[in-house]
Amino acid sequence: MGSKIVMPKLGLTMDYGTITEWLVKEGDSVKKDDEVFNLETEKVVFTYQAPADFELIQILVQPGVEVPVGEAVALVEGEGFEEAAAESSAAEAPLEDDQKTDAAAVEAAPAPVPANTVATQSAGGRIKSSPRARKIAQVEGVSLDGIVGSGPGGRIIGDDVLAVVAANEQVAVAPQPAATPVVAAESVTEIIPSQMRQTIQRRLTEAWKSPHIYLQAKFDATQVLDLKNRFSVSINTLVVYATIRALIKHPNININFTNNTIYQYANVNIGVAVGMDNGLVVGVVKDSQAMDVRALHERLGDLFGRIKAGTHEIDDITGGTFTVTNLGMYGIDQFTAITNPPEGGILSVGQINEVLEKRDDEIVAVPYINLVGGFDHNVIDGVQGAQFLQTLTGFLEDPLMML
Amino acid sequence: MGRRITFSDATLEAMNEEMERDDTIYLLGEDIAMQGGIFGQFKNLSSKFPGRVLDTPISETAIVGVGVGSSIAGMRPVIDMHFADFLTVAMDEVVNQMAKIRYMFGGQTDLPLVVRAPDGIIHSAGAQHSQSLEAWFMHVPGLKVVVPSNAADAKGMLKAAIRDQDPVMFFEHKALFKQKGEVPEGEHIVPIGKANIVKEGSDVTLISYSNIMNTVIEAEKLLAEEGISAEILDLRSISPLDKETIYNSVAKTHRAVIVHEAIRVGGVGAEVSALINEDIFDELDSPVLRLGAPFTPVPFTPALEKYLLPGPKDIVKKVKGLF
Repeated sequence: MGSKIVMPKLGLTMDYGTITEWLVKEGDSVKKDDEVFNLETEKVVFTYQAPADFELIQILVQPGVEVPVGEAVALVEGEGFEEAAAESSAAEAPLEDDQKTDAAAVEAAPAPVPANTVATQSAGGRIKSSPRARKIAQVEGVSLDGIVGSGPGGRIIGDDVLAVVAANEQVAVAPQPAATPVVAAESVTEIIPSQMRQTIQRRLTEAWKSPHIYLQAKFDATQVLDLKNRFSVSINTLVVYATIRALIKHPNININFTNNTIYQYANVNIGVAVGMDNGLVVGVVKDSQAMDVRALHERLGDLFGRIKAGTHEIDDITGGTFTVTNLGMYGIDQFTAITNPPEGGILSVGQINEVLEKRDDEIVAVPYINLVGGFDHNVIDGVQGAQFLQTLTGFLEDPLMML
Repeated sequence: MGRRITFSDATLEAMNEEMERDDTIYLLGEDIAMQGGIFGQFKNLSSKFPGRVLDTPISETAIVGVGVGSSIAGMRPVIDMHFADFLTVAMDEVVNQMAKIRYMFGGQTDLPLVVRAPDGIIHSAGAQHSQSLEAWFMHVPGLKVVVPSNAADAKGMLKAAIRDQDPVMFFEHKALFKQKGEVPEGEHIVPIGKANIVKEGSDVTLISYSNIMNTVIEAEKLLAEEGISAEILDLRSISPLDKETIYNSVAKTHRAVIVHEAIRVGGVGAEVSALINEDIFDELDSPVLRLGAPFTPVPFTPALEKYLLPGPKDIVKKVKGLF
């Protein structure tokens, strides 16, 4: 009885993965828990372990080829392999405990979205799809995850899946236009985008399709600077801390938007962008609302260290509900970051600018920091964003308000 | 063709042609010989075929009983229930005798018998004279149940019913008797158990039968204006049910809505919906929906009676909810 190993889905936003190395050969008898292949995805390396004993019949995807989630990567033969693969999926993947994902799904089963503490949907994140859509997805080996349903209430119907199948086929046959260098070859360095770069390209291009709205605000950082010195924490930590507090007051900003559904979270999984020489990663602190300033500061330091060292796990960079990005240390006054799907908002933090102001007939130098709230206008309106920023700047100017 | 006659005259034509062809055919019922039937559906038959059109006392039990007995004895009775509601009086004869005899006697006898039963709502006939009870008989093995929606089918299916070797329940909607339609002259047989695609479409299958088919046809036009292409399927008979045609259509449109005048609860729509779910679940893009009368007796009050049944706009609204 032949079965397939499919590209596992390791995170909510993972659409593609690349096998970097096969650790077994065709014809090998593989025992349960043996390492089968290494997988590079979303900036981490993951090793796929055998969910059950099997014999590897044929490798379908060679190392270095990027394939969509749910696509078969190998044919195998093994008693009870499919059941074991389906059962062990959640346990094997290094994911949040509460994020049930078909990591080792045998067929392209509809991948559930994270349950977390979803307040707006009780169905536990099941993708709404018609029987026909599921059948076509199964036959064509397409994942329903990420398909936008055109039926009532966002239900994915058969034609939606067929459209994706047709689009995939077009991509497969479309000739790749060869880029012609316009200058002499010796003065040009050709750089093939890394897996990380490709992920960034895909994610940002996708995100930019959503209409964004940008709201500018600034706050008097006098109190924050005082706290910085007293607690020996960074301004960044304090801004992130205040953002977490503000998100708790504005759950309509603390969301994921996917499958045409808004998931409002009770906990704040705060994302903080980490710039590196070769790309950009958003580190995520889960359940950050439970941390005090110092714990948050330590956690962020640890997270940034591991991300820069490349030793982070997928859990460290997925499942965010809002992102903070700070270019203040690079002398940037103000900027407008693109949202990090499926999140609905992002906060761009600028540098400190001292501004002379007349206060009580005195001219004083007030340290201001510019903030820009970027929101996916599909799900967050200007007023909601403005209210959130008002709370946030209020907290930052008078931190006692956070108590 | 070009010849338009009423549903009533179409059945009369079928009776005339069949009675001329086969002298074992005779008619039994209340007010059919002297009066010619309350809808004119037996007009002049008694003078044309003397002794073969018999008025009976008001006893449906006796009418069906005589029909069953004489059928076994070699006749081809066509019996009239006056109103389908009165079948309730003769349920033992219909369900326990007529439907069971071929089975219980090991197929030793045929039972050619047509039970004509005018049903449905017309002009405040009240709760006891307005029902659509076809689903009850669909539930009984041994009966064929036909539900024509137009004059041509009425003629073709009545002729097929008369020639059938088994008992056939022939539900003819009272509001249809006056409705005109093109009807082929002479030999025109519509086989029992074959549904009809009234109009082809691609987005949704509207399944219906009998008088409310008129409403469905209007709804289809409104849907077309809104860019929804509906396929109309006329079941014509509900037992046997033409599953193949239903499945082929729904496999094409991936959506189905069943519309009938009968009460929605436990109706034909429930059976058709269940079959679609069981057999072609993978073809569905939306739940199978049913429209029918609410769970209440048919009111006498004209205002309420009008309110009872789904209109074209109700169907359009339901269908649009599927997209």
